[in-house]
Formats: sequence, structure tokens, C-alpha cells
Amino acid sequence: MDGSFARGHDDYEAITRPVLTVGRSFRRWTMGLGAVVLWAVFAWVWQLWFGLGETGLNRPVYWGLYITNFVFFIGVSHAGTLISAILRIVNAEWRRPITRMAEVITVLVLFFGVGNVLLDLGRPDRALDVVLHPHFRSPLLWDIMSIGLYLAASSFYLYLPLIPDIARLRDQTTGWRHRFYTRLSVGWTGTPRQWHRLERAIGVMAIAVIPIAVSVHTVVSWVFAMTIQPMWHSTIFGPYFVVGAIFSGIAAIIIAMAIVRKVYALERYLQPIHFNNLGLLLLLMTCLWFYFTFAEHLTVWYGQEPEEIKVFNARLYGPFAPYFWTMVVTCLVVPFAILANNRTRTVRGTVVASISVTIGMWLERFAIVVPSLSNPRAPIHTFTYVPSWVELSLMAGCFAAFVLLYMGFTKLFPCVSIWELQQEEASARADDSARVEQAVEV
Amino acid sequence: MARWGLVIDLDRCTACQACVVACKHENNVPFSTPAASNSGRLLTWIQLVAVETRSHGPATPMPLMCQQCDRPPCTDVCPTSATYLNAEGIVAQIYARCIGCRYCTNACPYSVKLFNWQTPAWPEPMTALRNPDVSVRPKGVVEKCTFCHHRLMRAREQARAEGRDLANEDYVPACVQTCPAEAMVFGDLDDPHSEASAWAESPRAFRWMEELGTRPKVVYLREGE
Amino acid sequence: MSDRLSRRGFLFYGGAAVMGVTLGQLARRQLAWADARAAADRGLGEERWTVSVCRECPAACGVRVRLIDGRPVKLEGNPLCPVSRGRLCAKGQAAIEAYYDPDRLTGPAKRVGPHGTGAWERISWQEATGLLAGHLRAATGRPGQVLAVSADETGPVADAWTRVWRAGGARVHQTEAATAARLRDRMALLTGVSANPHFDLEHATHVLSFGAPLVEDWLSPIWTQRSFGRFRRFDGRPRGRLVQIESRRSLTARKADEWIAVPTDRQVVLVYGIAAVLLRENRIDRSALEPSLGRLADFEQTVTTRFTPAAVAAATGVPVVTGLRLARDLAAAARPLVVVNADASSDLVDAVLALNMLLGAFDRPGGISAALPPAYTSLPVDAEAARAEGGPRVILLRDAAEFRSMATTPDLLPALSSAELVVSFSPYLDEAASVADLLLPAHTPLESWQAIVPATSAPGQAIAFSRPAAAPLVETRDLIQILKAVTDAVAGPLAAACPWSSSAELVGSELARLARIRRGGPYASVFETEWMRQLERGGWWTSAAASPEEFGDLVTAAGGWADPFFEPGQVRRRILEQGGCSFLPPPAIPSEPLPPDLPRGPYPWRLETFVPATVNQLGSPNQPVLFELLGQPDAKPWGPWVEMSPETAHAAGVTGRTVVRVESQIGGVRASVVLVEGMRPGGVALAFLPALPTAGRWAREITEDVRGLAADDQLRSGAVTVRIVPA
Ligand SMILES: Nc1nc2c(c(=O)[nH]1)N[C@H]1C(S)=C(S)[C@@H](COP(=O)(O)OP(=O)(O)OC[C@H]3O[C@@H](n4cnc5c(=O)[nH]c(N)nc54)[C@H](O)[C@@H]3O)O[C@H]1N2
Ligand SMILES: Nc1nc2c(c(=O)[nH]1)N[C@H]1C(S)=C(S)[C@@H](COP(=O)(O)OP(=O)(O)OC[C@H]3O[C@@H](n4cnc5c(=O)[nH]c(N)nc54)[C@H](O)[C@@H]3O)O[C@H]1N2
Ligand code: SF4
Ligand code: SF4
Ligand code: SF4
Ligand code: SF4
Ligand code: SF4
Ligand SMILES: [Mo]
Repeated sequence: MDGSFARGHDDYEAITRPVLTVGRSFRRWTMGLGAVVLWAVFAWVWQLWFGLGETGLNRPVYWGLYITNFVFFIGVSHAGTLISAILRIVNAEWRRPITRMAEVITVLVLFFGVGNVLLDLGRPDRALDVVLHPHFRSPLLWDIMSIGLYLAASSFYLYLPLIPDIARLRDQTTGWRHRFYTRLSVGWTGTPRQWHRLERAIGVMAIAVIPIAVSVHTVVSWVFAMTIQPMWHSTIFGPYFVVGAIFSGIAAIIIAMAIVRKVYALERYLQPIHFNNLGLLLLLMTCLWFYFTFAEHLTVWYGQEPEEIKVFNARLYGPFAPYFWTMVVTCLVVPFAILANNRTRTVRGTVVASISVTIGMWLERFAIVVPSLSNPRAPIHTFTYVPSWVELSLMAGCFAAFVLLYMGFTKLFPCVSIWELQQEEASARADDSARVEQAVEV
Repeated sequence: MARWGLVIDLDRCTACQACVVACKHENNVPFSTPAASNSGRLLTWIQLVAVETRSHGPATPMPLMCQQCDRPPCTDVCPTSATYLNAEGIVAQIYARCIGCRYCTNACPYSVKLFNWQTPAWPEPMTALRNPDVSVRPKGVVEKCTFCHHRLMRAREQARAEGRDLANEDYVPACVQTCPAEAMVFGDLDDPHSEASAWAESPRAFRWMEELGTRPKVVYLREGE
Repeated sequence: MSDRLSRRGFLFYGGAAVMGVTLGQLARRQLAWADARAAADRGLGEERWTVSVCRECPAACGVRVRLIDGRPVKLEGNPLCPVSRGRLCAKGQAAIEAYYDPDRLTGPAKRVGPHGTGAWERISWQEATGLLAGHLRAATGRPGQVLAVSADETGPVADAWTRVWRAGGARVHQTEAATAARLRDRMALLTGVSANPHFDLEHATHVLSFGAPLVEDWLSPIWTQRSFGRFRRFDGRPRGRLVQIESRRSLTARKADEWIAVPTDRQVVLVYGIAAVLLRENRIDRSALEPSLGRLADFEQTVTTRFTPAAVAAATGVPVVTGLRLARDLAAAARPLVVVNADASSDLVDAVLALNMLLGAFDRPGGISAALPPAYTSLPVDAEAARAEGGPRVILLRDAAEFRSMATTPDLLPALSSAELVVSFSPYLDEAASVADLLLPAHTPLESWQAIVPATSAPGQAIAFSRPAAAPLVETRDLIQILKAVTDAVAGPLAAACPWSSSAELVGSELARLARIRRGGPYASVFETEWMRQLERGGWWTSAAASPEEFGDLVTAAGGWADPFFEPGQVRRRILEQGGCSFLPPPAIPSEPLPPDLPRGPYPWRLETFVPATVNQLGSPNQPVLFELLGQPDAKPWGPWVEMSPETAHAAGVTGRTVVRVESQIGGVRASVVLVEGMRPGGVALAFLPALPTAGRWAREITEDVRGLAADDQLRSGAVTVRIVPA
């Protein structure tokens, strides 16, 4: 590890070039997405002004799109940090070009997870009350703590491996970028002492981040499971949600990878092997997800407990059946059919499967949140929940802002970890190229 | 310390809904419109629900308000303690602290917690109709039956001014006060001499959904023989 | 190049962020402000309690009014009132909203545009009373030129109204009251006692009810509900058992231990069928009927031969065994009582009273007794608003004289369009006021002096009295003051008929009269009332008042005057005196078969309408909270609902809790479906809810008008058929 940038400079130009240049289509996308975000800001101000009456929420469906999005985004956040940490720990070499992209998703999407809770508050102006008057028995407070910790940890975990690459950019740039990178590179010069420290820190973080990540989605599931409401009050919700989170997280990485690879022409680094490996992981999660979903529904169906079966029926045969069965198709049938087959587990195939899973997992969250609320134990009048324009606008705004921020990130930092690729190449040269084949087994 | 409770005899209750109106006026619960009502935004702290309480015959219309659980699932989940079990055993709401997350509304198995979807409004001159003892809730917070807690505070003041102990009869919530069929009694469930505890001893007594471990302080007496 | 663009991008993001924060701050401030405003209302004012009288229905319950800085904020029942005993029904609780109705008339007005266009001009009280006086002067002379219509009401204020217009040669008409009036008349025929029957529901052990809405609005709603509660459960007494015979499953039917659906016009057959069983099986107490035995023989002969079990079963649809059981259960009960809805046909009332006679229910606890001759006899009014030659020139509509009431006065509607001047005294722009030419808004009940006889009360006598509980909110006037101004302007006999200058004076003179007759006293607690009863039984009359004025003050402060003295046994005594009671001959069994239960023709279902228990007969347009109670807990509030059997719903292709259109040959309304197990499948029952577009903001929200389905009399007679169409 001599930190000889001179050699790598040309080699990794493909990675750094998109960071330092801005194309026309980037600007067009920025404008388009910016318009969506602005519209969402308008909708948000509207909602602040007139109150949550501007949503389609009602009694008893007190939670809807925002909370669905909250769970969904927090789920997707497991993409990165958790997966990259696991792959790092098991030393899967093929992980190297994809960890960064995954970690960015985590950090950004966490903001939207938290943001959707804020959107859902009747009194966002009092959000600080949670800190001023905390009530530690509330799973929401556990959520705040674990998400806060996760956000800090995953930001740090994203930042640490960025340092050498920032230093590289610092050395390539002038003007404000130079100043910006100088500040962020915290005096990185690539001395062996620094390398040693960095690798140790990354190693520690990779281990620390796993239990935190697992706790985050477990606690999110407990927001539901700790109530005694039918089909929320489930003991398997913790692992079920974690599995779902990893499932949707992997799907999100695959989609992001495909887009970045295409837009920034990084085919050299993001190879079919990466899609293949992630596709296999996704297949594994498909099976796990199905196992949990099946177990959850079978026990409810077999028990025929009147309150639970009401929700069960609403979900499987009632007003929520379209959501449920679309979910089954998109989360099980489509990914399984594509990924279980070597011939279809191509770049295109995994991407299709991932898009399908992403849609399906959003529907899953919706099908968990709304049907239980729509079928309360008390026989009060119930009302069909139809999201209002405000909620739909804010949801669109969240997705647009996420993409926008992701794009912004790619314009500031390389989305593939350069020094890790260097490392890999160094060891690959020393070793044998069959190593990549081996990684498939991991 | 008294354990205030409400006993409702479903055999006497005529489903007249006088209690519903009394509560609305007593507690400044705003009126609805057909639009609000059709979108599930009607606010009422007490309402009739049809519950199967007998083995045959139609479901019984049952007045339902906060059951003032002794083990309330709603307070556990509140991130700010804006809803809590107070020293009197009444599950209270601190409107000024509520962040409007509606976690408690979803945790309550009786669905009796209500959310202020917008700023409550009374057209002039109807603002004069509001009870000054009860605060008007702003938009964005959760509210529910308080067992007319302000009446307890008044009754206690009164008793103190008269230099005597608070008696069962001093504290009567608005719904109980108006009930034309004399179907409700209110009082200290721990006081063996109170009418409420006597009613609650009835073999017809049941606490709705008590199997959930909520330990409600609203007791119903089953309709029928 | 790339740097510059990036900077622009950066500025863009930065700007958006700043804007977001600013807007967020603004919104935060707005929320904080809303909070502060809500908290600012909480300054406590000065609290005071006073009494008044609820006028939402003829029961005239006493109310306590909680005032904060002189403004009413809450109504409660007056515990001293013998009718309400401290309780109020939903309408009584909601009455306060009518006082604050933001769409009340703010003062007198005259019509400027053509009828019905809603163009009014505010005028002064002087001009308004002058205008009416002018027309009256022109109209007096020939009788019948003036028609005065008011709601059914007994008491000094109602009599003052009658007396004044009568003096001017007017016809004075009251909209029909189905309170105990018909029951009283039919009881007089059977027993010879002309007094309101008092049904001791509380002490009965078994009640068979023919359509009596016991838990809804029977006779005197609060009184009945209290009685019902105690009938069900009271201090160790056995639980009372209720069997309801009614075509629809009303709330009472739902609360009953057994509900048997029998079409309204067939119920009389069932009553006689039960009587026939009792007679045939000799399950009656003949010794108690001793003086009537002669007449009973005839009656027995007719009833037992005509109402054979098979014939009754065929005509009513009630199986023979059920009929037998109903009869035997009645006979086996300790204190059976048969009750009937106050609006029922004379035949049905006669049958029910006769059945009670066979059961020995008169003059026994848990039975029927007769109230004493009233301490207040009101002036007679004209039975019909029959028109004079060419119709009345001036029509005066007081209070609740609205269209639905007018439907019971069919000749009034054409008269309204031909009259020169139609005057409304209502404080609201209700439907009648909307067709008037001149509006003279009188005070609402909370603003008025009250003197009214409660429609039905406990045995004994009561007159509700109260001072105004609250200051007038707008420029309405005291009714007597208006009459005084008008009659003074007309002069002559009219002026002489109105010696009072205000209601205060009128009420004062009535109180003075009561002080002189030395009976009863101010409304008092249950305990004191019992004490007073014992004293009067011993021939004593006591009053804490030193002077008639003080007496009056005590009465208005208590909310009314009551004489609890009541002598049981009147009916039997009278029957003995006249040598038996006069059983009326029962009607023939209808020859046509029961209406079919299977759908037929394009409008397959028979329509029945009913007044929802939680609104008054006007539809309570200015009490928005009552609209929220409609149809609870089954239907969606704020609109009419239609009840049908699951079979009917299935045939019509609709399901419960959905909204459908109920269509007749001439119109349709949207209503939410309530499924009723056990209802006869041939008919549907629709809540009667009028749309009252002029009556204010909340009334305007009710857009479906049940009256669009058919003429009112057709609706009431059940002659309309409808179809149900998914909406
Ligand atoms: N909520 C409410 N309460 C009221 C009033 C009000 O307007 N609203 N008005 C008050 C007044 S003015 C009065 S007169 C009383 C009236 O009170 P009631 O005399 O009891 O009359 P309704 O309420 O019109 O009718 C009650 C039921 O009688 C049934 N019915 C109709 N016709 C017949 C029949 O021929 N035979 C039998 N057996 N049943 C029949 C109908 O199914 C209906 O459900 O109520 C008083 N209380
Ligand atoms: N279609 C149909 N028509 C009917 C009936 C029916 O059931 N169906 N029922 C018939 C019967 S039984 C009756 S009794 C009549 C009843 O018909 P109405 O006599 O019109 O009685 P309500 O409709 O109850 O209206 C009473 C209203 O008068 C107001 N009011 C009461 N007291 C006062 C006062 O002192 N001053 C003023 N300014 N306003 C006052 C109250 O606020 C209340 O809103 O309708 C009859 N017509
Ligand atoms: S007021 Fe009494 S009788 Fe009427 S619905 Fe309420 S509890 Fe039942
Ligand atoms: S009834 Fe619901 S709101 Fe009331 S204390 Fe129990 S859980 Fe809380
Ligand atoms: S809505 Fe308010 S009271 Fe309910 S849980 Fe949230 S903060 Fe607590
Ligand atoms: S106790 Fe008070 S707050 Fe609760 S339902 Fe009754 S009137 Fe309303
Ligand atoms: S029964 Fe009639 S008078 Fe009594 S409170 Fe109800 S509406 Fe008023
Ligand atoms: Mo009436």
C-alpha cells in the first residue's frame, strides 16, 4: 500500500470523470426532479397550514401513505450498510465496486424514512417534545434512538472509506472543490499509519453497524407488534421486517447499480458477475421473505381468531386483495422465476426482478399498515382510505428528492470506491483471476 | 384514592344518545358536516356501537367512550407521555405536548381516540356555547373522553370550600347526568358503599374486551335476563 | 465550465433549503398561533344557573341552564321538574344550539321579491306591526277572514294567542297533536272517564306494546324512558318483559325481548285474537269485571267467534302458537300492561284499552289510571282550518307551524297562496316563514317567559313556568308584546282581548290565579313532592310563600307549579257508577290477504316512513349535533337511512352500510342501507327527513328530501311503493 496515485490516476478516470463534470441530461433531470420536489414542498406547506385533514386519513385509518413510506424507506436503508458490512466481514471480494453505492442509499433513504414520520405528525412543530419529554416505554422512542444511532453509524461508515477517494479528488481539483475536499479529507496523505487506522476503523464499524441495522428494522416492526391490534401483534414481526428490509435493500442496490452503470458508463467495474451475485442474494431473500409471509399468514388462518381473521380476510379476499396478490406476484413469483434460472439471472433479469421486488415490498408495507387499521376491534364506522393529492405529491417528492440527492452525491464523490478497487487489483495480480469465480459461492 | 368508574346498564339504556349530545356540549367537541362525517372525521367522545352481547336477537346499541383502562395500551406507546394514566386513574391527554403521531389512536383497541384533523371552528355567535372549563383543542392533537375531569376538579374545589370530603355524588360526568333512562351510574369502584361498585358486582357485569388485559373502568351490564 | 454550473446547482439547492426552512418557520408560527388562540378562550367567566322549559316537544321538560357571563353554555334537566327529574333527551340537550343558530332571523322583515325568491327587507318593529294592523283592520268584520295557526300547546300563552285572534273574529287552528289526546277520547268511550290515561309502565311486569315507541318518543319521552329503565331494572324488582308488535324494527323493537313484525293495519286483529284466547281459556278475572258482565257477554260472543286462531293467524301472519303464547304470557304475568302508539287508529286504541280492561289493568299499579281533571283547561280551538268564502285574507303562523304540520291541515296549502298576507312569528326562516310576506320573529324558548302545560306527566298536575333564561340575542320580541302592539293599533275588541303588555304580565296573572286556588306548589324534589302529596291527602295545603308575588317568584325559580295529589281508583268508581264499561264492537277481519312479501311490478316494495327519534318533527334544522345522531349505530349519520330485510336487500342487489337510491314513481332520495333481520321482506322503512333549504346552513346540508317521493298524506298512509337502486 504505497498510495501511488500516479499509476491509478488514468485507470480510474472513468470513475472520477462523472464526479467532476455535469452533462446536459443531468441538468434536465435535476430540473425535472426539482420541479417535483418544489411541488411537494407546496403540498407540504398546504398540509401544515390546513392540517392533516388534507390527507385521505380518517378514523380509524389514522396511518396511511406516510407511515407506509416510513417503513419502506427504513427497509430500503438496509441496502447498504448492512449488506456492505456483511460482505466486508466475510471478505467477499466482488463487493468492492458496489459497497459505496449501497451505503449512500442507506444514509439518504434514512432521512426520508424519518422525514415521512415528520410529515405524518399532526404537530411537527412539537417534534422536539420527543426529546424534551421522552417516554421510554414507547416503541416510537426506541425507533428514534435506533434510527438516530443507525444514521450516525452508517454516515460514519459511508464517510470512512470515502476519505482516500476524497483525498484523490482533492489532489485533482482546484477552486471550491479543492477547498471542500481538503476539509473533508481531514489531512489524508495515505501514510501506512493512516491506512492502518482506517482499515481498523472500517473493520470495527462493519461489525458495529450490523446489530444496529438489525435493531432498526426490528424496532420499526415493534411499532406495530407492541400494540395489541390484530395482525400487528405478532412475535415474528422483528425478523420478518428485517428480512423484508434486506430484501428490498438488495433490490434497491441492484436498481441503483444498473442506473449508475448505465448513466456513467461504468460497465468495466460493475460487471454481470455483480448482478449475478446480488441476484442470488435476492433469490435467497425471496425465499426467506416467502417463508416468513407464509408462516405469518398460515398461523393466523389456522387460528381463525375472529379479530385476526377479519384483517386476514380483508387482506386476502377483501378490499386489500389487489394489493396483497400483486405483492405475492411481485415479491415471490416474478423474482423467483427470474432469479432461480441461470439464463434469466442476467443484468436485465435481476433489474426487472429488483424493480418488481421494490414495488412489491412497498405494497407489503401498505398491506400491513392499512388493513389492520381498517378492521378495528370496535364496530365503529369505517371508511375507505384513499390517499389525497397532498399525500401522493409528498410521496412523489420524497422519491424525487432521493434521486436528486443521490445524483448530487455522484457529482461530489465517486460512487465506486476507487482505493478498494485498487486493493483488489493488487491482490488479484498477486493471486489468480479465478478468485472472482470463487466469490460466486459466497 | 378513589378509583372512578362508570357502570352502564345495557338493559336500561334506550340508545337515545342524550349522553352523546351532553358530552359534545360539555367538552367543546366541534360539530361535523356531512363531508367530514362521510370521510371519517366526525368527532365524538362517546358514541353508540352495535355489539353482540346476547346469544340471540339483534346486536345491542352500546354507548362507547374511553374505557379509562387501568392498564391502558394507549399510554404505553405515547412517545411524549402526552397521554398518561393520572393519579386519579383517569387516562388524560396533555394537548400542549401531543405531537399528533396518532400512535395512541392506533394502539387503543376500543378506537375511542380522536384526532383533530383541522382547527375546530364554531360559527359566531356559537363560540359563546363553549364551556370555559374545558380547553378547545388545536388542530393536530389527539383527544378523547376525560371522564369530565374538569368536573372532578370543580367538585373537589367545592368540597374543599365547604370543608368536607368529596362524596360520590359530587362528581357526575355530563353523560351520566343527562341519561333519561337512568342507565348509567358513576362513582368510586373501590368504595363498597357506592352505587357504582354495587352495580359493578352484578352477575350481568362485563368489561368489554377485558381479555386483552386492558382492565377498563367502564363496566357494562349485559342486556337481557 | 463544469464548476460554474455546479455552483449554480449548489445555489439552487441552497435556495430551496432556505425557502423550506422559512416556510417551515411560517407554518410553525401559524400552528403556535392557533394554539394560543385556543388557549385564550379559556378565561373563566362568572357562572350562574337558572331554569327554563324545553320546547322541543310537547313534554315541556324543565331544564337548568348554565350561564357564563349571562350566556347559556349548557342545558341540564331540572331535578325539581316532575317530568324530567333532572334528565334531558338528545333534543333537549341540543336545544341550546337553536338559540345560537347563526342563521336566525335578526328582526322583522317583509318580502320584497316574488314568493319563494328569498328576497327580504329588514323593517322596524313599528312598521312591521303597523303593516299587520293595517291588513287586520281591513279583514275584520266578516268572520273567517283571518286564520291563526299554531302548534298544539296547552297553557296560558297559547290561550292568550287564541283569545286575542278569536276576539278579532279569526279562526284559530292548532296542528294536530297525537299526544295522549286520542287515547283520552277513546278511554272516555270505554270507561266514561275523560282524562289523560296514565300508563304506569314503571311498575308493570309484562308489557305488550302495539307500536308504542317506548324508548323513543312515546307521549312524554323522558318520563317514558325513566319508566322504561325502572321497568327493566329497579331495586330487586323482577325484570320487566317487553314484547313489541310493530311493522318495522324500531329502537323499541330492538330493545324488546321479542319483536313480532305485523303490518300496522293488522295489529288490531292480533289484539282481538289475544282477547279471544283469554276469554276462551277463561284467563280473565271476571270478578273484577262484575259490573260489566252484561256487556261483556256480547263482546265475548263476537270476539271469540270472529277472532278464531286460524283467522287471526291468516290476517296477521302471526303463527297460531305464537298468538296463544302471547295471550298466555300476558295472563300469567303479575302486572301485565298493553300499550299503544299515540297516533294509532281509533280501532287499535279501542282494542288495546279493551284488552287492558280484560287484564284488570285499570287502577292498579303497573296498569292504567286516569289523571285528575286538569288545573288548567285551555280554550277550545277550531278543529279544522276550513276556509271561508274565498279563503282567509290574513294567515298568521306561530312557531312550529311548518309544512309537515300543515299536511295535517290539507286546506291550508291552497289558502296560503291565495291569502293577501301571510305572517310568520317564527324566529327562524323555516319553511313556513319562507312563504310568508311578513316576518315577526318572536323570542326563542330560552329568551321567553314560559307558561305551558306539559303534554303528559306523572299522575297529578303540572304547569311549567319560567322567566327568560337568557337575553335576546337578536332583535326578536316577546310574543305578547307583538300582539299588544298589533292589537293596540287595530283597537276595538282586539285591543280589549289583550290586556297584558308583555308575557311577564300574562305569566304573573296566571301565577296569581294559582296562588288563589290553594293547590299544589312550586316544583319540588321527589321527597318533598311525596310529603306534599301526603299533606294534600289529609286536606292540608301549605306554602312557604307569604304573598302571591312571592309564590310566583318561588314557582318561576323552581321552574313550574305542580299539584302531585292524585286519587287512584277513579276509573273503577266511574265504571261502577255507570253500571259497567262499554266495550265497543270490534271491526271485521280484513278480507284481503296479507300484502305479499314477494317483490312485484316495477316498484316492488311498500314504503313506510318514520320520524327518527333524535330529531323533532321539523327535522331540527338548527341543531347540527342531532344530524350526527341520525341512524346510529347502524347507518351513516347526516342523512336518511332505509331499513330492509336481508332478503329484500338481496333481491334488490344491495348490501348493508352502502348508499342506495330509494325511488318512487315521482322522485328519489339517497339513503344508507340498514339490514334488519326479521323484517317482513315486502316492505322497506325510510327515515323521514325533510330537506329545508331556507332553514340555515346545517339544514342546507341535508339535500335529500324524503318528501319528494310522494305527497305527505300518501307517505303517512303507507300507500307508496318504491324500488331500490344501487347509488
Ligand atoms: N323524537 C321526537 N319525539 C317526540 C316528537 C318528535 O317530533 N320527535 N313529538 C312529540 C309529539 S308532538 C308526539 S304527538 C309524540 C308522538 O309520538 P307517537 O305517538 O309515539 O308517534 P310517532 O313517533 O309518530 O310514531 C311512532 C311509531 O308508531 C308506529 N305506527 C304508526 N302508525 C301506527 C298504527 O296505526 N298502529 C301502530 N300500532 N303503530 C303505528 C310507527 O311505526 C312509528 O314508528 O311524540 C313526542 N315526542
Ligand atoms: N308528516 C308528519 N306530519 C306531522 C306529524 C308527523 O309525525 N308526520 N306529526 C304531527 C304532530 S303529532 C304534531 S304535534 C305536529 C308537531 O309539529 P310542530 O308543532 O311543528 O312541532 P315540531 O316540529 O316539533 O317543532 C317545534 C319547534 O318549535 C320551536 N319552539 C318551541 N317552543 C317555542 C317558543 O316558545 N317560541 C318559538 N318561537 N319557537 C318555539 C322549537 O324550537 C322547535 O324547533 O306535527 C304534526 N304533523
Ligand atoms: S343517555 Fe342513557 S339511555 Fe340514552 S343512550 Fe346514553 S346511556 Fe343510553
Ligand atoms: S379505552 Fe383506549 S384510549 Fe381509553 S384508556 Fe383504554 S386504550 Fe386508552
Ligand atoms: S398522538 Fe399525541 S397523545 Fe397520541 S401517542 Fe402521539 S403524542 Fe402521544
Ligand atoms: S364522561 Fe364526560 S367526557 Fe366522558 S363521555 Fe361522558 S360526558 Fe364525555
Ligand atoms: S322530552 Fe321533549 S321536552 Fe323533554 S327534553 Fe326531550 S325534547 Fe325537550
Ligand atoms: Mo304531536
